[in-house]
Order: sequence, then C-alpha cells, then structure tokens
Amino acid sequence: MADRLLQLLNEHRALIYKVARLYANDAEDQKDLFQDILVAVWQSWSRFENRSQFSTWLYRVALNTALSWNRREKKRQAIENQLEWHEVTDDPRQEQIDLLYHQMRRLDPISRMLLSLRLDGYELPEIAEISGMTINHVSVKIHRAKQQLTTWIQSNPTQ
Amino acid sequence: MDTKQPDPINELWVMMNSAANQPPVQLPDAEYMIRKAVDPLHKLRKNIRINSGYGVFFILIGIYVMVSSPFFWVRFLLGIMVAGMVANIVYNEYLIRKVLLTPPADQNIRLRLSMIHYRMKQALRTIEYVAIFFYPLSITAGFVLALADSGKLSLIETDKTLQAILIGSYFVFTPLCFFLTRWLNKVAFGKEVARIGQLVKEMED
Repeated sequence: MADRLLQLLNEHRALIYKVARLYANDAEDQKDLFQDILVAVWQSWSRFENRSQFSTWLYRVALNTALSWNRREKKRQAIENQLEWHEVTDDPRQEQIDLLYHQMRRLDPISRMLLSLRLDGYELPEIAEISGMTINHVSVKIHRAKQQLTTWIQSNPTQ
Repeated sequence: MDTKQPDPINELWVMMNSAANQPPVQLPDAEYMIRKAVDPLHKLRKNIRINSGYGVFFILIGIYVMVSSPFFWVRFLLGIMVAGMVANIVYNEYLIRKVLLTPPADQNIRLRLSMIHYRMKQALRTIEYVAIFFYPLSITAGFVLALADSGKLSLIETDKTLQAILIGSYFVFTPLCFFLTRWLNKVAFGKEVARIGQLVKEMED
C-alpha cells in the first residue's frame, strides 16, 4: 500500500509543488508546506476510496492543507535534511512563470484556490463540490480573480 | 485540462504546468512522512498537554503536603484543589481526544475550515471558563499554605481582616486572571483563529 502511494505521489508531485508555490512565498516556506501536504496525504490515504481520481483527491488534500497551513519559524531543520529541492535557473520561461506565481499569491487564498482549480480544467460544479461553496459564488469569485490577475499581469509584466 | 478560450492567463498557466511537470524536488522516504502533521489544532493540543503536565506536577506536590500536614484545613482545601486539578486533566484529555481532532484533509474545504475554526474557539473558550473555577481554589490554597507554614492557620477562622483580604482577593484576582488567560490565548492563537474565521466567512458569502 505504501509503495503504491509513493508511486502515485511521485507521479503527481508536480501538483503538490504547484500548490506549495501558490501558498508559500519563499523557497523555505514552500519546502515546509510541500512536506506538510505529503504528511496530510499520508495520513488521509486510508480514506481514499477510488471514488474520485487520485489527482482530484490529492488536489483537495493539498488545498485543505495549504489553507490551514501556518508559516512556522522553528521547524525547518528537519525538512532541509530530507527534501531534495533545487532552484530552477536555466528554464527560459522561468521569469514568466515566477511572475504568474507572484501575481497569483497576491490574490486572497480562496480566490487563489478557486482560480487554480479552474485553470486546471475543473468545471464549476466540481469546484463547488471540492470547496463546499455554491456554484454561483464560485463563479463570481473566479471571474473577479481572473480579471484582477489579468490587470496585474498586464500592468506590471516584468515584476 | 481546460481548453476554453485562449487568454494570457491560461497560456501562462499551461506554461507553468509544463514547467512544474519536472518539479525540482524529490520525495523524502516513507518513514519520514509517517511523522505527525502539524496544524493549528496540533499546536493547541500540545499546549493543553503541557498544561496537564504542570497539573500532574502540582497534584504530586499537593498530595505530598496533604499527607505531611497535620492541619485539617490544609488537607481539606488541598484535597479540593487536587480534585479540581484531576478534573482539569480529565477535561483536557476530553478536549484533546474529542474536541480538538484534526478533521480529515480530504473533505470539502469549507467544512474542514469551519470545523477547525469552531473547535479552536470552543476549546479556547472552555479553557478560559475553567480558569474561573481554578483561580479561587489556587488563591485559597496559597493562603492556607502560607498560614500553615507560619503556624497561624487558625487565623483563617477568627481574623476578620484576613477573611476580608481572602474574599477581596477572589474578586480582584479571579477576573484579572481570567482576562489574563483570555489575553494569552489571544496572543497565542488569536491571529490563527481570526485568519481561519475570515477564510470561512469568505467562502460562506
């Protein structure tokens, strides 16, 4: 069972990495959150019943953890020794990607969650189900968040 | 994946996803992930456990003084204090095991945040109210121990001034300590409770 989970986590670690970058500002905090999400997944794994796709279930766990995650100062030494984390520097798209992460983090946490789900292709009823919000509310918040993000990116493309 | 109207945000997102397909991170080993997750409720559970630890320490001291003291009033009041502390530890265990459970991370997000928020508020409120009952007991025990130590315990039954000071100290220190507890809770957890409460509110509109 542990082997299967590890294999799934390895296949989907990009999603966890993305959520960690969306909800934590610097690399240290991102490592911290990444690790907390892994632990939350590990603890919730027995409840995964194949009723939804693993990626959807993982997204939900990751967002739940990110939203209740609180930046901590003390707990870093253990993580640094365990997580192999490299800063990407040679990707030519890195500047634009960093800009998107930066601007996404300016959104409030709920809008950030809803917009990232939407941009990853989830339909409004699915997002409503994952978040526990009404479809109408989800729709309004996504629309506003996207408008806001577009304005920020267009007005300050190199920041 | 979303293939609706192409716009700058979608294009950037697709680019970001393709870059994130090779995340610059490797998973730690399984053993490492088994360790307990830290969440807002975990911090509160930890504080309550520390509180129980102090409780055990004072219970042991209380029992020792009770056994070694020849004075009835010392034994009686310390007995009440020890019983109260035992009740507090039992109640702490109830909070840790029944109230402050971390909700599963795979349920709907609003519900989970609401549960965390409610449980934190409930635990903090009850800790504050339990404190109201403890301070008079602690004040009385302090008086009795000091009087017994100086061999003047009988004054507590006869000296009107001493009785007035004791009763006055209930009225002054009990609310003072209650608000001190409330303030300490606010310093330790207030920001977190407010932050999660705000998230829940935003999702409920």
